[in-house]
Amino acid sequence: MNITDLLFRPAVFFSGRLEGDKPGLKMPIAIVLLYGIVGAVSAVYVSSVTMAMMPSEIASMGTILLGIGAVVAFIGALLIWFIVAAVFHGVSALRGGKGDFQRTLAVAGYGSLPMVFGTIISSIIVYFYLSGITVSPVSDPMQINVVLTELMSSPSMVMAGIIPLVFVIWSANIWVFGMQEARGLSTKDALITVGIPVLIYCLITLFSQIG
Amino acid sequence: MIYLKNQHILFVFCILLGLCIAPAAAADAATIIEGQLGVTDVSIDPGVFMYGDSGTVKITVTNTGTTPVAISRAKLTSSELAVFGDENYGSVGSIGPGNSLQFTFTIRATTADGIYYPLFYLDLRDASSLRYRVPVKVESTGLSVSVTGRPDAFTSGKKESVTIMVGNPRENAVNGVVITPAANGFETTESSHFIGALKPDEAADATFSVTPYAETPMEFIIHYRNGMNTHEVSAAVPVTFGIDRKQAETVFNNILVAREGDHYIITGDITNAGLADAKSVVVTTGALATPVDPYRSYVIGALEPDDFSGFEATFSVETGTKEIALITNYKDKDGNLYSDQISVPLFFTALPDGNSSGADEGMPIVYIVIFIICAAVVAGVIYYSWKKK
Repeated sequence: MNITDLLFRPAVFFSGRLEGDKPGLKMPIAIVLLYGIVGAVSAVYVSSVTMAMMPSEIASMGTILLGIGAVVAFIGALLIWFIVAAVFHGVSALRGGKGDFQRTLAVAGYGSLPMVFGTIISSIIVYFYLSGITVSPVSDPMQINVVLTELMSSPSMVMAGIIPLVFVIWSANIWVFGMQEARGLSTKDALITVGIPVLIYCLITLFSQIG
Repeated sequence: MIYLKNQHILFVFCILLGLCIAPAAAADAATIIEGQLGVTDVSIDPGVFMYGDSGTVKITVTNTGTTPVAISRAKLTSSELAVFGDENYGSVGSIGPGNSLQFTFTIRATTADGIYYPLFYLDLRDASSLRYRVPVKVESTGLSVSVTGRPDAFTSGKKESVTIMVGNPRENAVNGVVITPAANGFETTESSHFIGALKPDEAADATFSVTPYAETPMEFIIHYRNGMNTHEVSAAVPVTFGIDRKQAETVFNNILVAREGDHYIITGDITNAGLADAKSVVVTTGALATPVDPYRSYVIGALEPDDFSGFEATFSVETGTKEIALITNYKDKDGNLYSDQISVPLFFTALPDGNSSGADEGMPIVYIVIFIICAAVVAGVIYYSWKKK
């Protein structure tokens, strides 16, 4: 697999790669797992900051909660992969797309690679921001949500949420070429198949970050 | 011979008879004169002496006869009381018929309590003398002082009222009663309180506005005069600082702290749970918090008992501050200032470090640059990918 072609020349990359109804998923799974690991590491760090706010009696369960956070982030990456593939597959079917779901799954997995970069950059921003704050335990558990809301509404955290969207667009570009190949779509149909869900996702993310 | 002898006997008898008759006649004259004089009035000032008191005894002698009576001297004697003034009456003169003469002596009571009877002695020039015992009472019981009004508890710097009652348990009246507060650890509005005369078994009270500053007993000195003698008695009011059970008491409820830009805003309700009005109520933040605009202090005004009001105050804190003090200042009806404070934990604990707070403000610019770079790279990649299609 030529990573450079995948990132910069996806048309070349996907040309002839998705042979048959059941293309290999090793590399897509590896990319998704990498995406999940990076997301899990970021989640563990954010969770550790959250745990510092917990009352002492809850903080003793910190290791367990951190583990839960990592697992949720990791499984979440896999779920997102399937959801993205399912959405693309469904929308492309409406546009006359043909081909096995595994082909769409492979495209969705390959296209997730730029999102790994976005997650890494986002994690770095989160790391620098959280390193610069002092966190004290919150005596009232009811206040934790309020504290987290304020924490997440800081400019740094907003940026950490917006920058990955740029890489989602990069992934969308790969998905467009991939869906053309996987589902036999025209460029226009592929743009619609990928563009509409991605646009909706980006708008939701933007409003949740800014709003 | 017998005749001569009888003549001698008769002569001696006559002489003896003369010797016997002459005093008898003189005695009759003295009795007559004494019967003409009488002590018609005795005035003692003060009526009842206290130990160490000086006073006067005025004795009025009246000639009720029809002939003048010559008086050689007059004196007052006592083995227990010190008497002065005898020398004034070494040569008195005479009292005409129907006239009176007053003799005044000074005495000093330097004995224990009791009734004494100094002897008034009037030496008559032509006859005998006049004796009269004057009863003089010595009783050293002073005025009775009691505190009839005081607050449940004193508070340093708070003006309170203290009522002092002065009673006169003596048999005689005293006068010039003045209550003077001693300035020992407290201030009073009144420099003294004049009561004046107090008759026997009579009482009078005086109220002082006092402001204590130390837990030392408040001393009040009562000056009074028994006749011409000055006496004093004191009363002390113990001062123990505590909480007035009837004073206003502020209670905070529904406190909420929220971050607003570069500062915090704290809101809540304040209720007067006491029994007295809280006036000029002002809420502000204290230790570890720095009040900032727009609400450095929130003026509520007056709060009646069981009344409440909302407030909001703005403040900033140093990094790592876990709690701040919320302060209420209020006054009572006399203008005494009270201050209550509680600690408010800061739930909003994600605070930028001091050395990175500035960086945090600058970071969005960095992030915007990063965003632009990322967007440019992605745009370039997309352009490149479509160009190379």
